[in-house]
Amino acid sequence: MKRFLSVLTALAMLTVSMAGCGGSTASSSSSEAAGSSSAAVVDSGKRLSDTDVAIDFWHHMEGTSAVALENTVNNFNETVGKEYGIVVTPSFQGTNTAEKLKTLAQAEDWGNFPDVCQVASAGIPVIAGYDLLVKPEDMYAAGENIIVPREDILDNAARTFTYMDELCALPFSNSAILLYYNKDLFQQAGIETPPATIAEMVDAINKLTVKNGDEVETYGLEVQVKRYQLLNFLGGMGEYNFLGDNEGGRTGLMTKTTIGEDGSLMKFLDEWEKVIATGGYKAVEDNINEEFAMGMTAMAIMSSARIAKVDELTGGALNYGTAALPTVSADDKGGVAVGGSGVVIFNKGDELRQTAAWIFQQYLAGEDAQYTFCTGSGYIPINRKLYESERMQTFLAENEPMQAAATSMQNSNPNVQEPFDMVTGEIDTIIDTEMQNFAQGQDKQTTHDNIVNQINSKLAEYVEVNS
Amino acid sequence: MGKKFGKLEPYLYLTPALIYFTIFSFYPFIKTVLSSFFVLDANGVVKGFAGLDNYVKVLTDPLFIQSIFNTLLYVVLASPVAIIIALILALVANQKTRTSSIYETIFSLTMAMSMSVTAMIFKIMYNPNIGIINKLLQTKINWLNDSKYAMLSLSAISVWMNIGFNFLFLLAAIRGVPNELLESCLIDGATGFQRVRRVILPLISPTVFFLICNSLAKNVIMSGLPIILTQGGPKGSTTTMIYYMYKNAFNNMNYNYAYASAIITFLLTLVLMLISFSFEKKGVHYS
Repeated sequence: MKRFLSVLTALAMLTVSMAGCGGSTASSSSSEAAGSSSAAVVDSGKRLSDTDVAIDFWHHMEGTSAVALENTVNNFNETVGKEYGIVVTPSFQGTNTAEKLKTLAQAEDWGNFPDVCQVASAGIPVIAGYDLLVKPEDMYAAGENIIVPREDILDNAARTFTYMDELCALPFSNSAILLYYNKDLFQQAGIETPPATIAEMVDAINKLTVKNGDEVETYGLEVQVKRYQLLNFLGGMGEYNFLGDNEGGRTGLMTKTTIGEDGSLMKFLDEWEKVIATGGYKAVEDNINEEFAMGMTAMAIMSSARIAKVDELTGGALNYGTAALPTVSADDKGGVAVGGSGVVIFNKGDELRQTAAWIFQQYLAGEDAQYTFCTGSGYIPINRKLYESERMQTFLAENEPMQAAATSMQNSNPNVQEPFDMVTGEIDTIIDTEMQNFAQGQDKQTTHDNIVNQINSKLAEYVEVNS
Repeated sequence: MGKKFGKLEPYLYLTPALIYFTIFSFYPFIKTVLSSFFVLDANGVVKGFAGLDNYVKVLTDPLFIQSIFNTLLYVVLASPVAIIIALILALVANQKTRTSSIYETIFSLTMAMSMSVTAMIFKIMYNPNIGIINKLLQTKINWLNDSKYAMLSLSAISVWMNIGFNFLFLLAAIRGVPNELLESCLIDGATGFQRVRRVILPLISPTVFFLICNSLAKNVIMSGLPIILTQGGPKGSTTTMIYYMYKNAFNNMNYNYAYASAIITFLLTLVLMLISFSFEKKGVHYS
């Protein structure tokens, strides 16, 4: 009996372990079952099939943005989804969905790819290499099931997701870098309008900084200059500035940075040196949202995606405004790069699911979805028609910080974009370290040369094994 | 049949664990070792044989050399302190009283906190302007953004997080020390310090040894705190070896550096573990 029990126990353990190994198969089966379980509700000529088509949507939204996204997806399932017989199931996949896709691609596990996925723009060149990717460029060319015309999407937002002259994703959750300023502190310092150039910002810092002996009580400006901040300052110089060869990596692999040879980096450092010299510039961001919300800094440079956070921290009590990022020179016209994420779709061999994904992808870039999502999250709409609608105009009129964000993005040149520089993390570290050193007294030429040479060295390493 | 089964039985019990280890440890380890000798592109596709080139490149990268020192500094700052504090707390909590369960729970509570939540709480506490630490110490130190203090700040978080785990093990070990031994020490006139040094510590040395090994292994491969709080900065001062590997693999898609640095980290951990095991022969008493 004892032996029998031993055998039984061992076999049970073995069975459990084998079942564990087969987990992915079970989950995919249940997913398929779920896909076919929803019965058709609305009789419509637009239905894709007799039974509902279920598709997966991976996203990386958290907090209030996740709630806004869930509402947007629910709206789709209740309206357009019912019309076409499509059911979308959203699932949070961490903050870096491109990384998850890459893991699946390396394992050649194409079956576990989602139908629809939200990705940051930096991930586009890698995703463009997946055979499964269905490019909106091709879908628009085919002309079938168009619910949001391409012309409705703002040009610069579309270009953010364009690689090798092909639109690879549709923009969805987008933002722009802004100058946040404390209106009360501006009033106390006698400043009427936010600075439009770095030179004007230097004057403002001098007036806004409050010192007690050697100790700064209120900083005029807080911003840690990393890749995101620097590319926006440099990208908007002149008409526009690509920052790297091959249009900043959009028409081919970016093999070098051009910010050294075109003089744009030195021009920026010339101006930034004056910011540092004010003594009222906080070069390190500790808790930038909180510090700005508490009035410890009079100006801060942050993404428009932080508007909701600042409002949440202050309960709407802080009297602040936002303005376009100050330019390096008064005659710079480029504006800023569109930040944020877009949505890609994949063809996993099922035409119905691909069509459903295409309809949902367009819906997310459409008027209704952009209104629901952006008003709930603080992201900037990318649908041209939405800006013409009364509801959006009313919303922007009542939300001044959002108004500046939307204007800033709409006024920017489509060629001002984040470069597809492939070693983004390394470049971010290089710029951060060198700009910190610059703020602590490193000379301008050394800062310039270190940034240019180190970026080029990292790009060369990447090109060596990937070209 | 019975004899045959008797021979097979132990292997049958081992099979589930072996399957898991093979899939999740042995296979990835062997693949990492082999891949470290090849050139791979951003998609992980082999482009050619590299020999020792990847190792040479990593070992001549100043940031990786810095990361080795950072990792060792972190281990030295975090491992012993967490064990010593936990030992003191366990000695204090040794006597069973009516309120024991309350402070035992409080002391061990830190192990129930997730790293990300703890990191975010400490981030606010470390803030130079609005953080409570500078307020209490009456200082203006930029704990996380000054390269002199950043690693110290991270190791302090690690110490706080590990105290609970170490405390539980040490408390159980101390309560396992026979009372008659401690009473005879008292009769012989031993002081409290002498009782701890001559009786308690030798008897709980297997537990201390386990905690040292556990802590070394855990701290050498630490990457969570830099990922959440400092991104390896300022100026690379919190870039640990595994953070270096993580950044190369997932941010830069440079698997050549990532694989080589992973193997070097493994070797360093192995050396540290061997050193610990040499301590076992001299300082650990199992009887």
